[in-house]
This record gives sequence, structure tokens and C-alpha cells, in this order.
Amino acid sequence: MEFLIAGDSTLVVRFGKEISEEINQKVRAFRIATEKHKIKGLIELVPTYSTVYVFYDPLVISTKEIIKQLKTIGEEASEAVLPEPNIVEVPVAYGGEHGPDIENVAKAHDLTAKEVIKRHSGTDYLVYMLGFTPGFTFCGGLGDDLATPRIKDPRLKVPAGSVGIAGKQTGLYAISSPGGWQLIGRTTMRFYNPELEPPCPVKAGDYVRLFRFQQKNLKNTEKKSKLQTTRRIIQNGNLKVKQY
Amino acid sequence: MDELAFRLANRIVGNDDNAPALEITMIGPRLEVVRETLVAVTGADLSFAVNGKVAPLYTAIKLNPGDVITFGAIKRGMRSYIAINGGISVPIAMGSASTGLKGQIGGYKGRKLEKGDVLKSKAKSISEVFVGYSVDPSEFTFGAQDGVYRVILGPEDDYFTEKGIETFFNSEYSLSDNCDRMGARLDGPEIEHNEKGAGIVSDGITMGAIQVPAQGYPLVLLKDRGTVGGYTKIGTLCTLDVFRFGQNKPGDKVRFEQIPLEEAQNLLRQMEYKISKVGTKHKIQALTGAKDGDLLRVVIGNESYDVFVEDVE
Repeated sequence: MEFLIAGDSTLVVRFGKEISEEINQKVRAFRIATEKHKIKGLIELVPTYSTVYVFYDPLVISTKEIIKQLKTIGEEASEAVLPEPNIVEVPVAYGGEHGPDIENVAKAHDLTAKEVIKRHSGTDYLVYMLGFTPGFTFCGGLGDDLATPRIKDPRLKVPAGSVGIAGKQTGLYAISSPGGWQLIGRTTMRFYNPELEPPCPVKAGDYVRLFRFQQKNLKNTEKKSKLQTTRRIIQNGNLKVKQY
Repeated sequence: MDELAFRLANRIVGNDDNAPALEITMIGPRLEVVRETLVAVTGADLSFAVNGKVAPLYTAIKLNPGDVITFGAIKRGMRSYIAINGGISVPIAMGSASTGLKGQIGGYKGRKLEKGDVLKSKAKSISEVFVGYSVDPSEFTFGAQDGVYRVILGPEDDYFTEKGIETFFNSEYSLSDNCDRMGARLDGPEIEHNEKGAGIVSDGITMGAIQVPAQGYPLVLLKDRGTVGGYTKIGTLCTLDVFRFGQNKPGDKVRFEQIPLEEAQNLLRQMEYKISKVGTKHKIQALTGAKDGDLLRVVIGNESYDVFVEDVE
């Protein structure tokens, strides 16, 4: 566990420099343990792939003092038992107009689009972090058989709900934004709804279970509206269907 | 963006520091006053005028129904703040009154203001004691030199060569046209990475972080930055200077100076202390009806108290 200074009001607690489930477990454990302690002067924690960014008020707690407290928490955290993650089922319409880059991914690996879909939708992906834009979900766990570099010329506008690939990462654009990931599909599930608490159906440490959703036209079906108002979440082995 | 100017504007009209106010970027609105209001404009000089006549900045001005506020030529800076007594009344979204344009949430209907919009405050009346209250912005510079921005090294300074770091601290950079509340791309001498390169696994980004992608230009990340990113960060602006940086516009020239962490935190301490005095005396007078007197800070043990001592005949 390393501590780095990022300006006068931020600490970086670093557990590693790569994307790995093991490192991410430490990130999660540390974050949960720190939140429990309620350090005075701590403003916010942002967990990332392998670090936790700690935003604090240096006028309430000195840098030296907060590092001391976080070190202690860090040692406790390594013994912590993590809560069971939720598994969120996510319907994805693959290819066609919803996945304009699926052929890029297929060609890069000598596969057909159908094979890409089969491989991509068959795995549970760990949500490493949320960030970049509201609800953007960063997942890892993509095999070398699908890992593809970002597109050369980032798009100015990626449609909301797009599912993409960037290197070994797979992710979901909850809202429309510029983006450079290879787009292979799109979900109708709202991954960011500020009117709900929580606004995102997943949090870091959860898993997304992508399944192929056959839908010719995403724009007008009754089924689509049902999907948008239902979140299917597996908690502690039990499937909970939440209606909003 | 310029939090200091924003907080001063609020305090000058008797509001809490964080009362909802307007941020104007370069081109100001034309506002018509509907109800007696106390207004203060701070930050950039965008030719603030009332009924066609130039009006002072950093001053609480009493306005009556029919008065018209306008802005014009950009004289200095980029962003101005308009505070009205009572603060602007908007619903709270995700714990904030401010507008998040990217997420189309918060503030006034989640968007920029348009013609016809009406801004209200919950204040029932004006505190006469604040009318004419004014503050000298030059007392809030805290040793800043024009065009020089103080930086704390890191957290990825170990991804740069010595030459690269030297270039960063000894060159002049100018703001390109690519700047907004998310960040500012700077043009100038390339900053050299070492063999570790320009990319890291997507990591957090603090306000004021300065990223340097492979092409070698600095990218200063500001208020609306993405929360994570994968470019190496050579340094971070001290918080005070992030606010100042919000007054730079395309074409403006900047230089960077390295300062130690302690100095940056001392600057914050000085700023908080100085701000805490603004409007405090007037607030107490407004609350108690006390006339002339002095504001003293009394420290007992770990607690500090603002004590107003009234002059008595």
C-alpha cells in the first residue's frame, strides 16, 4: 500500500498498477473499511482499478494525520470479509446499428460477429469502477480473444447505453458522450438515472451478466419499456426483480 | 470555477458562502429586476452596468424593479459571478443546486439560462446594512503573480525525464481554443516522458491535475473534468490557483512554478481566514440590529468565536 500526494487536498492510496481482480479486492476492502471509520475531514473516496483517491480537507485534518489513520485502516482492511457482490443482468442488442464496430473486433481475432457475440455475452464481468462520465461502467475480465485496441479516431458522440471494448476492458456508456471504445452493442437499460437512489444499477465490485437481447428496432416495443423499468439483480444467490 | 470570487459575491450580499449564484462565461446576460434585490458581481470585468451606467464590482448594489443589468466587452478575466441576496432558488439535485450540463441535471432545469427565464430568491427583504458593502479583491491575491501558477509535483512525476520536468517549469504556455470547464489544453514546448511512457491504468483525477499525453502538451483538468483518466499527471495546481486559472481564456499565457505541499496548504489556510471575515460583521449587525463596533475573533482552547463588540455611548 503506497501513499501519493495529488495536490494539497488529495491522497492516492495505491495497491498496484494493473487491472487484476486481486488488486481490486484490496481496493474494495479498503474503501469499505475507510467509510466505516468516518474520518473527520475526509470528504470523499473514489475507488479506481487499483487505487483509492482520498479527497480531504487539509484544514480539518493534516496530511500526516490522515495518512496515519489510513495506514491503520489499511492493515485492518486486509483482514476484512467483503460483502457478496450483486450480479446485474444486462440485456444487450449486439451488432448492426447498435454495434457498428463489431466487425472490427471480429476481424481482429479471425472470428465471425456471431462468435464475438457468443463469447462476449457468455461471461460475468467484474465492475472495477464507475467514472469518466455519470454511470460509465468499467469492466475487466475480457479475454485475449476479444481484447481490441480503441478506435483511432474517437467518435464525437457515442449513443447512451452503448457497450464497448478498449483493450482488455469492456464497458458501458451510460450517457451519450465522446468516446473511443469499439462499440459492439447497446442496452436499453438505463445505467444512469439521477432520479433513482442509487442512480446506477451497479457499483464497483458488482458483476454484470450480459445477455443477448434480440430486438430489431429498439425504438418502439412494449418489451423495451418493461426492460427499462426493471432491474434484475442477483443478491446473495437470490434473484431480485426490482420495478421502478 | 473561480470559487473565491463566487464566495465573495455571496458574502458581500449577506449570503452563506455556498448560496446558489450565477456563473457567467465571457458573454453576460441582460437581466431585468422584478423585485427589490441586493446584487454583487465579482470575478472578471465584463463591463457590468446598471441601466447603461458602469457599475462597481465586488460591491453590494441595491436594485429596484425595472432596473436593467447588462454586460459588454471583456476587459479582464473570463468568468463573473452574480449573487443576489437570499441566493437563487432552485431544486436540489444529487445534493447540489448547481447545473451539471453533461448529465443535464440540476440548477435551472439542468441547462444554460435562456431568454425569458425567471430567477427567484427566497429572501423576504433586503438587509439594509449590506447596501454599499464592498471588498477590495486585491487583498485576496495571497502572493499570486500574474500568469504564474503554483504546482505541487506528482503523482506521476516519475514518468517524466528531468528534462521534461525542467521544460514544464521553465516554459511559457498559452491556452488553446480547446478549453472549457472540463479542462484547458495548453500549447507550448513539449514535455518529455521517460521510458515508462504517457499511459497508466485509468486512475482518479483531482481538480487542477495536469495531464501530459504522449504528444507532450499539458492538459489542465478543471471543475467538470472526467473523474478518471489514463494519462500521466506531472503535477497538480494548488487549489487556490485552480480558482485563478478559471479566469484564463484562449490565448492567455501561463507559467508554472513548483511549490511544496505545506506552502499550498498554508495558502488555503490564509484564504479561509481572510474569507471568514468578509460580511461577518455585517451579518451580526443585521441579526442583532447593533450599530457601529468591531468584530473580534476570540479563541478559547480549540474553538474560535466571532465576537461583535458594539460601541456604546
